[in-house]
Amino acid sequence: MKNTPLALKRPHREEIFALPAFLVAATFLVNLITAQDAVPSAAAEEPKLPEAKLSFQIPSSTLTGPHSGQQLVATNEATASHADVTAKAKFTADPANIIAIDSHGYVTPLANGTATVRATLPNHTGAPATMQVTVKNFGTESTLNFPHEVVPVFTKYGCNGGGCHGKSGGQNNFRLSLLGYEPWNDHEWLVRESRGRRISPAAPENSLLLLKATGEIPHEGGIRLERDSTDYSTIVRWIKQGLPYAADDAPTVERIAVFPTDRVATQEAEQQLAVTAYFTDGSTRDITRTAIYEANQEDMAEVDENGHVVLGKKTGSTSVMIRFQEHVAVFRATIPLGAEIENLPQPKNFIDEKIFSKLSLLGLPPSKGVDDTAFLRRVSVDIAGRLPTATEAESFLADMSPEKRAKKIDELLESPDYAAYFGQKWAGILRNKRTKDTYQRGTYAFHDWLRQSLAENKPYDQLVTEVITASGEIGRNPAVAWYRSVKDQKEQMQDIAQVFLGIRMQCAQCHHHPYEKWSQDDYYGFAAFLTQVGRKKGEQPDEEIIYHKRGTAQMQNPNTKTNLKPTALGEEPLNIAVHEDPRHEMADWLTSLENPFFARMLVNRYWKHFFSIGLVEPEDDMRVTNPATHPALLDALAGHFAASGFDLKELIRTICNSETYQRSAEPNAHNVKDTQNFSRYYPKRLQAEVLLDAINLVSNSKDTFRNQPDGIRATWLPDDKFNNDSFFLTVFGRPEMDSACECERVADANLAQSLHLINSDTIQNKLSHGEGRAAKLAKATDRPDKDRLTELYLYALSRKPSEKEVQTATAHLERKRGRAKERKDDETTPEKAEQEAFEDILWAIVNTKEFLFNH
Amino acid sequence: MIRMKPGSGIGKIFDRRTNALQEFFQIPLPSHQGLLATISGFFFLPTLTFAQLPTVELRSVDPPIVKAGTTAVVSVSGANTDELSELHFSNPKITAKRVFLPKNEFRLHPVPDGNKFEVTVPADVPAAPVEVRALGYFGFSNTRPLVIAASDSNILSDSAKAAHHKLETAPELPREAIAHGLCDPNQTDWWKISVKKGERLLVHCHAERIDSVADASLKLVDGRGYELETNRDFVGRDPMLDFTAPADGNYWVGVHDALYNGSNLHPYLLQVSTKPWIDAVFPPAAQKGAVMEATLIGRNLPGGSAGEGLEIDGKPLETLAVKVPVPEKQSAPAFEWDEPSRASLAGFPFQHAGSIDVKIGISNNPVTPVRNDANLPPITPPLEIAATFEKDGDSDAFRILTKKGTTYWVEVVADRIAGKIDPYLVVEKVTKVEGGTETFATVRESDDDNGVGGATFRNGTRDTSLSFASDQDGEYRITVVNHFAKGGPDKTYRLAIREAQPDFEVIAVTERPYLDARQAYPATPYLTQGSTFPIRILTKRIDGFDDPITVTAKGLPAGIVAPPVTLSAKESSTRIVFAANEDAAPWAGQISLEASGNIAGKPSKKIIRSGTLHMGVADYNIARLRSRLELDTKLVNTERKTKPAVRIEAGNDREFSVTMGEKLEIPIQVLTDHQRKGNLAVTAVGLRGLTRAPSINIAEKAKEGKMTLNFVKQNNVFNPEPGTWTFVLKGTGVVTYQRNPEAAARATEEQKHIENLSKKYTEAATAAKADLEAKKKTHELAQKNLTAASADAKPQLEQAATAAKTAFDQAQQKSTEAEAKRAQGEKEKTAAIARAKAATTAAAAKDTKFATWSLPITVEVKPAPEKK
Repeated sequence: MKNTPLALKRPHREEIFALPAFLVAATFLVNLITAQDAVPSAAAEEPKLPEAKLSFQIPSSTLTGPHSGQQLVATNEATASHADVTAKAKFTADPANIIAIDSHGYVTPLANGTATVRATLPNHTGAPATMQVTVKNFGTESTLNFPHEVVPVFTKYGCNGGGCHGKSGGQNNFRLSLLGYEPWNDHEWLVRESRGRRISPAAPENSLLLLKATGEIPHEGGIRLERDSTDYSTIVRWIKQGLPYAADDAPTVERIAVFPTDRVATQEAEQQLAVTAYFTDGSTRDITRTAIYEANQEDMAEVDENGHVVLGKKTGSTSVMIRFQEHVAVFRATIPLGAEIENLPQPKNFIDEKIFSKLSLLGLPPSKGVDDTAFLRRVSVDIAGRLPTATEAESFLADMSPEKRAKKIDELLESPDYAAYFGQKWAGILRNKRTKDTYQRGTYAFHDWLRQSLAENKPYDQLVTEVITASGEIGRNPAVAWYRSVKDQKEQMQDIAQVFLGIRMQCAQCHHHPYEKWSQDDYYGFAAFLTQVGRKKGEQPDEEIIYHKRGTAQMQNPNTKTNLKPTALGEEPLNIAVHEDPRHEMADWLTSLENPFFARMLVNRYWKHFFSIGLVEPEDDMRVTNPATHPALLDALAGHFAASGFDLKELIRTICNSETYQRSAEPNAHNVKDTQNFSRYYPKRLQAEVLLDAINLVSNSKDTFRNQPDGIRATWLPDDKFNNDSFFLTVFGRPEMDSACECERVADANLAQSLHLINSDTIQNKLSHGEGRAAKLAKATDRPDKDRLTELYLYALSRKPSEKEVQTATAHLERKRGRAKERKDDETTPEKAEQEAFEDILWAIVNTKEFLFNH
Repeated sequence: MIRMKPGSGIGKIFDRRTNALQEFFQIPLPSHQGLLATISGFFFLPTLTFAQLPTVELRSVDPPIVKAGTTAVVSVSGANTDELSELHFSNPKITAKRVFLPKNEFRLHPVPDGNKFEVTVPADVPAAPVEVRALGYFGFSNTRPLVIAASDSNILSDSAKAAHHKLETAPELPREAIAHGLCDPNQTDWWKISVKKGERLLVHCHAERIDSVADASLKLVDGRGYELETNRDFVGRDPMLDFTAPADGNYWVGVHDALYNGSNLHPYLLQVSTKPWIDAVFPPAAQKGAVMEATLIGRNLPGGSAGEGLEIDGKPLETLAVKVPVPEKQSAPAFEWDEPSRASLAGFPFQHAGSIDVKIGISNNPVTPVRNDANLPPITPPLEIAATFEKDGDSDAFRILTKKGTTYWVEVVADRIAGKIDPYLVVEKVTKVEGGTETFATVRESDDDNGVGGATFRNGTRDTSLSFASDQDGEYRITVVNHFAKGGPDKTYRLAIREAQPDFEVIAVTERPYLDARQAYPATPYLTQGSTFPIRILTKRIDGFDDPITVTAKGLPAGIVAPPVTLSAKESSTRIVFAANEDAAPWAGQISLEASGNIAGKPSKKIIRSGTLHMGVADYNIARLRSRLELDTKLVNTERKTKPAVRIEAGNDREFSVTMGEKLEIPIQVLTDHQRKGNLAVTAVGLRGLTRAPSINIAEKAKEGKMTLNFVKQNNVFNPEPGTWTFVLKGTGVVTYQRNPEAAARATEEQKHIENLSKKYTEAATAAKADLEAKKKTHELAQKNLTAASADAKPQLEQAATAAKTAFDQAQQKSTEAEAKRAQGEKEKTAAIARAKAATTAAAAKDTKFATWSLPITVEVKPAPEKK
């Protein structure tokens, strides 16, 4: 039997909701993945600067010694966004023999004295910018400071990276501390290890260190240094100076700062950065050429090793992370589109105010408001993890009250489906994994506990406290299950930090965190809160009683062998009595209103749930070097959440009632490429469980899961083990709950998913079983086709079919009926043909992007 | 290549839509058949394990409840329940008769109808659970509870079956009625209730408390299907819902196993009640003979006042002051579902206005309720305090004044009251330094009393006790911590501080004599002539009781012996072994075990209660093990000739003497040796200090062996010490065993009988059919003749035709009847063949593992002579 392709496309939704091209699955897949790429954005025009008003970032600078330098940043303040013109400006020094200035605006000394630097912009009018540069001690070779001047060279060229000599045990018998965090060890290993064979004081250029680094003798890491580079000469000087470490009273770096910290710039604009180190003795030094730069979003900005940033074309915010030793700084850039915004919706709450304010700044017009059908489906999926029923859809569409959306949000939040959907979300985050069959009682109990906590809207701070301080046995206090899933104390601390604070402490276990301020002492001090968690056998195999074990809480930093008292992050160590459970102190600090991380982490996690992308990405990696796209909104959301008493439902209510959330998923002429400014709703594929439930709802079928009630929905499943029961759940990326990261859940689309939907026994059985929707509709011959098709569309898409869709589907039905009549010898009876036709239509709908995505 | 799961990948079913796709992607199809063959090959490899000698295990009693004053048909089931003949109840007024299918032509004798019994409960039997044992081919079973309901109660059976699984069809559960049902796999049993706004209902569910394996959970939903209440693990693992209706209407109570398992081993009782419920009594104990002034803390308490803001899990409580006379003696043992440590706690049942019983403890000493431990002045022992962990994380500290040189015993009773507390004790010495500052030095800490039942029998408790010797006339601080960290009005405990009041408790564990690694199965003592059966004796030595304890069996019939066994001061467990002579007469009945010892120099005797497992488990590393006490101890001896029996004894009248550092040779004799095959491995069990005993083999035909024990310290093997110790020899091996050959013989006889009958009915049906054919022809001919006949001849021929018709009709009827008989015979024959085959297969001689135990052996270990 042949199939007749259906053409149920709605012209105004072609891009997002196109039906699959039958028999051309690859095309379908591409469509599915690239749903949003159809409309190109308008290119921004390069601004013209007829008159310049130039300035330098500093009024004066002093260069000490012959090897010092200063990066200049020239800014044209005549533009609204203060454009960087360092690369375009012409620099002159007067007198000319005191300093040299290269084309990047980097100043180096030539002789002692003071010079006036002037910057002008060619083909522009306006007064030049001026500053004074003084050179001192040009003739005096200063003694190098190994940690400040030599080690950064190794870091800059990746020598001490984790993949090279910085890894544990080093590389080819040569070891450096990871990212130079232990310069004293580096000095020891370079100078003394292997009887000093790496350094040749008599002939510094013949040192093994340099011959390898320049590739003059074979080096697995290739050529890292050029002989004529400043950094090469720095090492040669250090060797010549007799391999000094640092004076005993040498100052250390207190902090670093970047100029500028924020910029609103045009597409493809350039920005030179200048980085300054501030020392404990009050001195400063330009470290622009020794700091490390890394763009956080490579598609939005590129940065070279000298701190020269080139922005991309994408509208929105991006940032560049700057590191020097254990210190970090960040440069943030905002790239506007500059389009005219005609009809900005009236803000409903502070979310809209912040989002719309930025959209205005960017000149990025938001999409129109979402219609009722899409809203109902969207909010039902996002809050309750399910499609609305046909009855719900009909009733909602018929409701004319202006508050119906707010009412629906409240209804969904009160429904058990909300608690179940978010319960499984938290079950994943809190690793409710059935590692052994004997864990089952506990994983079920923990999931129930989470579900009930959410249903009763237990304040989030209380919920977190109950998990962290859990004591007892699993039947009466299921929260202890977390301590069974996460057994190791360090891992517990890491999960707590990541899940509840958005701080990834893992790196600091072995070395100072490369992108953060956290040290090993911070790591072990924070973990010390968990050292008195006792375990003993519970009532049945693999169940434990968790309790506070009397004693002194402390954990040793293995590097320094120091026993560290419990210390909250960024706080002072605590003296906790032996009979006090330190976990309570930890929970108190964690959930206190003063904690800068707690509320922000949660609101960011929930924001991502509804908008597909966090204000900070990844949502649980919230650090100063990974700034939010909307810092003010993040602060406001966190403040609102904390002020509400950590009310999770109120947070969801606030988000879902915003105009921002209620934007259409359909892009306008300007925002198709927007993926971070929330100018539209970003469609997302339905999660594995939601999709399976949706298909079951539409096809009137069900899945059977072992040890679960008949007809249970997949969103209610308590632990990971059901992935073994359902290939569907596996292929659509239900998490295995191995880690605390929500990234375990696969959100993208792939070929295996498409094939499964298009062509698997699982789906076919759902479509064609005797009690299924297709069979029932086929049997309801007393109902008009349109009526039956409407039912199908309401179930699947929460809307009625368009006239064209009705026509196309009816034509398909008629074709099938006609063929069954014509071919008497065919085994296909009219009844069978009718059912097959409805199965075909159902199948086609299930494979549309409109069905597969929340939009 | 894309990996697809069998059954969900590219398949034949979807060819209609996907042929083209399949061709396009060229994806190979997995061979389902091949895969299945591989899987089944993997799982069905022949195993080399041996069976074990069967012991009968009673697992279910259905229904689990019978009303007093009625007779009900009760079905029992379990393992090895061959030929059950009697049910024995702990209340002898209750009687049972086996239900038989009457004798008929296919049955030579009346045959039992399944495992059904007609149970008659006289009206004067109190409403309470009783214990029931079944007696059958393999002796007495372990016990199961049967709940006796009051004669005026309303019992609802689970007749709704699948209708329970949907709210729309769920049956109504009237107030106070007791419903019984079975948890069904992957289902929730729904019961509809109508409630008035503001009405406070308590939904009680008994599952663990009636030995169900169901980990019952309750939920309550409204008409929208929204869950309003859920509960589990409220009393033990049983749930209780406390629901106050927000509006008039129908609500639904759902019962299911927490893991949605279900079977006849998953019974539950359900009751929606407005009767009082007592969460706690404070104080939870009082001195024997006193009238205690107590506060009841609970729900729906008539006359109760709103309980001072007290609540449990957010549910408000009421309080009521009552005066309760405390009996002088503990009441007679009744069925107790809970762990032995909790059941053993001295107490008496108390109820108020029809509430479910709550146990109040009986103490030898006055019990002082303490409502606030803050700023409590130091107190002088002996004393017993009752207190409550009121808030989460609460711990209580008490100061005591001690006398130098006195040893004090400190004991907390908390877990044994309700199982909701895990107490931990800390004793600190208080020292005052100049200026009035105090310092605290930890003297002792103690946690759980794990008991001595080992991995196969739980007799420990989370309660704890310790002793310390005061080295000053001064102050010590005793802190009671709750490791569960949960506070509330039901978190009450008793703290006793006293000089030693030595005492002892003893439990007898009835379990299978042979257990593979990680197995635990209950078994009531079952002897065959010439065999032995051990009972494990577990003791608890209270307050350092260090006198010997002697265990004696009473009520044994002639031919069966169980020499008394004595545990010396350091021993906490041993075995008493029952041995049947080769000619011991068959016997089944109750025996008793008695423990005797001197308490404070005075002889004291105690009846030992049997401990059993609620259910046997094949691997206690996977399955939960529950133990409880039984109300009596039974024993069976059988003379069956097909029995296997091996009996070993140590020579020298089982009495030995050895000096530390020397070797002891124990001669072993094989006294009876029926059907043994291969080696008998003999090892010593229970000898103090012996971790890994040497195992000696006695060859198949050999009758003697010798075990040598070297009384020299060997790490992780033997750490001997001087004293007189008791142990037993355990022999394990294989016998050739026929399981219930009598049943096979009967089934074969029955098969032959039925085959004969079937043959007879087949022949009769054939004959009847032939006769019918003949009569049919005659009838057709007569009819034909009649049709063809002239008018004159018709009358005569009509008569003949009528006669032929009658004969044909009769033949037809006979043939139909004969055919029905033939069909019935065939059916009966098929069933009889299957029964006979099963019985014959079961009775085929098989290599079967067994264990035999010697009577207890004593060894006096003398100290090594001092070196000069």
